[in-house]
Amino acid sequence: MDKTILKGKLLSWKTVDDALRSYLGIGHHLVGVEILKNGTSDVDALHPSRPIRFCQGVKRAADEGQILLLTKGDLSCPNAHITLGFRDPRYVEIKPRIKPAETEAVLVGPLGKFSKDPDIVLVVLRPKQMMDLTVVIETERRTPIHGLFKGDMGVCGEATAEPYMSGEPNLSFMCNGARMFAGFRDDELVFGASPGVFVQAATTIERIAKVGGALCGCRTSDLPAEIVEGFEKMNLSKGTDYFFGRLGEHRVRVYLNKDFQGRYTFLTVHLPVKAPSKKRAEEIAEEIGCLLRKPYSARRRGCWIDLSMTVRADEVGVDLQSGENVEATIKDVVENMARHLHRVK
Amino acid sequence: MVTESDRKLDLIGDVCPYPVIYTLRELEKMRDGQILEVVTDHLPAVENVPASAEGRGHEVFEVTEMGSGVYRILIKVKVP
Repeated sequence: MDKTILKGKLLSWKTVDDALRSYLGIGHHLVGVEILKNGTSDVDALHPSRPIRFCQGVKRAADEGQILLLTKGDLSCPNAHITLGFRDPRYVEIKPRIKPAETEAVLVGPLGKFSKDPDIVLVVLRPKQMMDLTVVIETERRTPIHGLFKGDMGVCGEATAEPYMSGEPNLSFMCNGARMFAGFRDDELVFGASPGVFVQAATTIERIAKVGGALCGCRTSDLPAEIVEGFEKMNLSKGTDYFFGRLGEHRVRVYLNKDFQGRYTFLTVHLPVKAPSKKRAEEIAEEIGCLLRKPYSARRRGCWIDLSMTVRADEVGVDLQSGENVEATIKDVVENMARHLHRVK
Repeated sequence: MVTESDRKLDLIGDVCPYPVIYTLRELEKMRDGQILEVVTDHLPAVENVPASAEGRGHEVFEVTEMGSGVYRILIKVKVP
């Protein structure tokens, strides 16, 4: 297991936890799991006062932020003894399970409280959130996630042991035990993967937030009413994750993006322009790309040229909450883009 | 030799955690020395039913495959 995942990335596990929670819109924590062969951990963890199920430990870590060190004696579910590698099965082969069965304890806690890399990270999600996470993961991974699940030993086996052994992410629709005893809701599932998958996802979220694009806009339905009203006063309509409408003769889109702390920080203005042909679009994009300077950018998309600009709102004197300077800034940006476009067209 | 049981639990089609729950509930109703036969086709139950029964002090003295993925578990009740 790679123990240097965060090295050089200037991230902490808290940052990764915050980024994903903010992006996915979840109130609970991502959960780190460490499989310990020696039964001790340098993390300040507690044993439960009486035996619990592994899935209960995951639930407590996610909802209450508890850090638990679970030995075999702390785990009441005999399935978890096998799936998490505390013992080998005696009568039949059980899959998935951690092999060889050398586990002495399992550390479970909110990801943000891990100082070193966990072995597996779990996140409890609703289907829509799982879809959003998948899109972010696949942006870099480029390989579909294959789920192995059978509604049995869900949290301990399918979401933890399976990715631990295979190295591949897996999702689980949990099991009866997880819903009956741990209290997971009927509309929740659990996704487990090596920590590198989540670091990559957090990095992608940050990049998207800075660059702008179709993926990145915060859902407008999540925005505070005063921000939405501000855009509506400019005659811009609310799309799923952007505002759109006409400013003068130009059709524009405006995206708002959060930073790692979940604050609405970045403003992206997007001006799509159609060229008569793909070839001409390519030429215009290249020419205008030479004229425009950061934070402006030009990209070709089929017969279209996407002109965009992403800035930190506060750096250009925009206050998204009060609406101060929003309209003037967007108009300036669009006029500047149009001026450059006129020169090359 | 086929061991005769005092009670039989047919748990074909039941998945976790029900085999364990039903088995432990049945064992609580039985007297010391009686034998419970549990029949299951759920692989994890072949492991966790014996483990749970033993965890409560009962004796598991036979686990056999009867064919087609169906298993028979024989448990002797031990009442302290």
